[in-house]
Amino acid sequence: MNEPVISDFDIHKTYNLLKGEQIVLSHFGRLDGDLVDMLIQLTDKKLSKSNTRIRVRKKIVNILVECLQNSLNYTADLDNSPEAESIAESPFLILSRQKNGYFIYTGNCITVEQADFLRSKIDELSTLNTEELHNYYLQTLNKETLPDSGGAGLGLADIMRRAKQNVAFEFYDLENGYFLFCLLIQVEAPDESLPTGTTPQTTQITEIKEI
Amino acid sequence: MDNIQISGTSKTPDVNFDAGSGKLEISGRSIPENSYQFYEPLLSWLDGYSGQPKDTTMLTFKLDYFNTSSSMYILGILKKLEKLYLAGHKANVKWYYDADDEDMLQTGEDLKQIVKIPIDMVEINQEA
Repeated sequence: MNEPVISDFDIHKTYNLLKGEQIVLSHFGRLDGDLVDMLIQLTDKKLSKSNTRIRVRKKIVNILVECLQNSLNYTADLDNSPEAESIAESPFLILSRQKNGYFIYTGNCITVEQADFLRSKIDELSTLNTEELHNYYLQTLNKETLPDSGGAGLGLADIMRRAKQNVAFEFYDLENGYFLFCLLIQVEAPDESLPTGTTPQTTQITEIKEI
Repeated sequence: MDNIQISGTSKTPDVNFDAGSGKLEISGRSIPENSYQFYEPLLSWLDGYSGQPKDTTMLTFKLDYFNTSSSMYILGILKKLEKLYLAGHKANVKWYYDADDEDMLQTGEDLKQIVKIPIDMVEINQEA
């Protein structure tokens, strides 16, 4: 008699993949305030338990807060549209540990108008060196008027300066009037040893090639 | 005037604004999705306090995390205190940062560049 097939899902292969890539945390799907809060607390707890240095842990958590809250606030909000469900489910987050630091890969679906705005901001910020980025951050922080939400400029500049500009951006045209906006962020952790028995790769950010 | 005492949550900080002593403290996490809702009452309170401040106002920040929308309100609070200071009242700010938290130190230094009020950087040590 044949063994009953529960699922074609290869759990052993998936386990090895996740372990090999040192996935600290991942999330795919719709976000709300409570879920963002839980993901942040879980990340904080996991990094604390793994004795990650304070400066690295705080950098990662702060960047995650910014990314997840951006996904929460700026994922295209649609009613009565055939794409509404898939757009709302588009936010994702992967935090992994590699030889040369932690990598945060995150993204969400946005409208063409949002994509145009973000592109212009990123083009502006990408030309800046460390000192210019710092000055941009200070000027933007100082000129923001309350209770304005701050716009994308300050948030992006904050992520870039915390990550020492190790950030790549990509826009994937979904050809239905929306874009999947992705960020790949590296947080360096040069003086931390990896857990024994793991063989993570060395990853360098040049550009995001494919999902 | 009434004091403000707010207990912290996973997203919002502890707040202790004591009009009687002039000691104001914000500590913990400040990562609310709606910073306006949380911080607007604090800014309004400071407007009232500025009408009858104590001889010396001591403002203390001991933050673990904060998002960029909070950073605008933190600057907003400092600007209110700066007005008081420039009008001739004594005011002092203490900005606590963990010895290993370079970003929190940098933010304190950044704020020092923006506002004309004495900000003391206070290093604290804690285990990773």
